[in-house]
Amino acid sequence: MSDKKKNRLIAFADQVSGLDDPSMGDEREATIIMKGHTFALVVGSGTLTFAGIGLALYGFWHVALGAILVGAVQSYLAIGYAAAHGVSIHDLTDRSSRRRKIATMIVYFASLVAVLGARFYQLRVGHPVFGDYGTMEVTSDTNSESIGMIIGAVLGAAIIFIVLALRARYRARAEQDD
Amino acid sequence: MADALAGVVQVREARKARALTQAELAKAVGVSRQTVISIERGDYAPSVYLALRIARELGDTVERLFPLKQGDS
Repeated sequence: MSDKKKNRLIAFADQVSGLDDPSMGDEREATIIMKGHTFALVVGSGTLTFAGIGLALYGFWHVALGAILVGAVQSYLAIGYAAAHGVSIHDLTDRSSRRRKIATMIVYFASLVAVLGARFYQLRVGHPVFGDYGTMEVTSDTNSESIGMIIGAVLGAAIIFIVLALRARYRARAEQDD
Repeated sequence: MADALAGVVQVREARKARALTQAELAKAVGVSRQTVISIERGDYAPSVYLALRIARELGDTVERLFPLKQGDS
């Protein structure tokens, strides 16, 4: 991306976020507001994820997927914004403590497994884990959808594993070059 | 403890030497009074630009107003 495009993106993002607005106060107040927003975002994302899992157990699995999608978009935007400033969130995440990284991964994977598991259960049994929203007759179509979910999950996990392995190799090579 | 409060004391004393109130200094350097209070308490380390503005307003130097504490790298 050219510098001109990057600057335009940053200016647009700052305008949307209101970072240049007088309501952000001075530098100390702006920092505190941004820290507050970060805290709210983390808590909000967590709440959205847990609410999504709860809804998935009651048959509203598409709402849960929407919540996961919102989280993914938020992460993507944050990574893109930081990258436009020349900051690599991926590289910085590596500096995070091992415990925090593992905890984050466990939460994300457990959420995904819970949501997909709830949908899988609904497809196989014909009703959600709790309640009766989306009760359906188990047919060959629902069976093939549940099998498709398993195949999709395996393929998705394989893609994530390959991407992570490639990233690790790329980073190791970059460190060697340094 | 004395080292930890070095910057705090310097800013407050320099401000008082200039007979400025926290509100006046805050207005002069373009921040809120609460920010000046935080700086004087040592709760907030200002950016280089704000430190320079404060130093200029107080007729002092950044190095004297915001000395590195022992152990600061």
